[in-house]
Amino acid sequence: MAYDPQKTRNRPTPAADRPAPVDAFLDAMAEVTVLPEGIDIDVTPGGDTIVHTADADISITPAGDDVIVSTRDALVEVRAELDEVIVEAAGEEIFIDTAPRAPSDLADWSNAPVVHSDSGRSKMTIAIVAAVAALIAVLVVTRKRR
Amino acid sequence: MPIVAVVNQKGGVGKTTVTLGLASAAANRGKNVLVVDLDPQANATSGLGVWDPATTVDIALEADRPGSAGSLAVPTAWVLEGGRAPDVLASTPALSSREPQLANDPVGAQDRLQLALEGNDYDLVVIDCPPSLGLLTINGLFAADRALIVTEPGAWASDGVANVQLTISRIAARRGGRPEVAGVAVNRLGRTRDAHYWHTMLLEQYGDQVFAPVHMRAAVAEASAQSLPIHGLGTRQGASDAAQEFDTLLDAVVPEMARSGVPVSAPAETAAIETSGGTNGV
Repeated sequence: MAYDPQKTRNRPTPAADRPAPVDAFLDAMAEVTVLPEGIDIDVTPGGDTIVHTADADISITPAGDDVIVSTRDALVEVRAELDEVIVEAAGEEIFIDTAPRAPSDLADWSNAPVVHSDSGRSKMTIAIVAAVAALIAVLVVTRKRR
Repeated sequence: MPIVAVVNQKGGVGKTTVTLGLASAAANRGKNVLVVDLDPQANATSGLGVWDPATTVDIALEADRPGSAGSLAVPTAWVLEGGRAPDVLASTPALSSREPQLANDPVGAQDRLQLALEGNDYDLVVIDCPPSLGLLTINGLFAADRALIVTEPGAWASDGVANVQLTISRIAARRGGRPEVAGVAVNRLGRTRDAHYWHTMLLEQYGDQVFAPVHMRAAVAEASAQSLPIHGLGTRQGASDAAQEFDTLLDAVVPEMARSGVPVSAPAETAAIETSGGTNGV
């Protein structure tokens, strides 16, 4: 071929094992929380998170406070600094890792008024997980008693 | 049901043109087609003659409800003699604000579109992905069983093919091989030496993954401008040739929908391209 717009400056062949930008997304999504049937979570454009259950809609705002959920059958202890939640129910202790799931650079996508992956976001995630964990614990214990 | 994601992280290569061309080819065969417009620019939506849709893909992504696509899709304004007008899961500019919300969803949001498409009865779904790597594109690739990489014959567009292949392979590695790369569609192939050079480069690099090209023609641009299917452009010069190229592309990308007697693997064409001349002919 006589015509060569690249002249001698040919493009390098990309390495097959090079990192892919999509890895950041996929790694962040590796551990998807599976919610029990009938429970759903929405994040509103304003940043509020709403946990929908069969009986109630629980709104959690990113106020930044730790959340402790205590029920007759379960005790949920939130350890915000460690990004973990411990659920004690039916004689078992369940540890839940609540570290933020989205990579930090995802927050720069847009200036839209949404929740970002900062510490407030982390606490909100903890609150969501705690609320859901408590609901799961109550459901499990209730079913066992039946 | 085949679900094709039309994808390239590089913008301006003609993803929407190819999406609408494939939809036109399938609809012209009487197939029940759904176009999913994941691009906030909403060009596929307007190209289908839909303006200010009552429901959009944004609702499907927010709803997180299995099978919601069927009830949220709207009919298009396309008219195809003897064919069947496609439906569209329409886009709006507001879709751009959905992406950061999806990224922050505490339970993961990469499979919202897949969920929305569950159980629908379309013969073919074609997803027009946005020209970026974000959760909208990832939703498109998670929902698809095959990905069609669109490029144009140029240096940067050719670089983009390698990048999007990498993206698809990483997703497929975690998804049991899905989506598969259906192939590379070379769009807007003109008659310049430069176009010929880069088309040849693509053929050398990707071999038989490169489908027969879609040539640059004014008829294709006019179909977009008039929100008409390329198969419904009548006797406009070049329209039938363009329609034939999209028919061939559909046969190659969706062989289970191929016309009888037509080979599903069309050879990549180079012989018809003139190597002289300095302007892009339409």
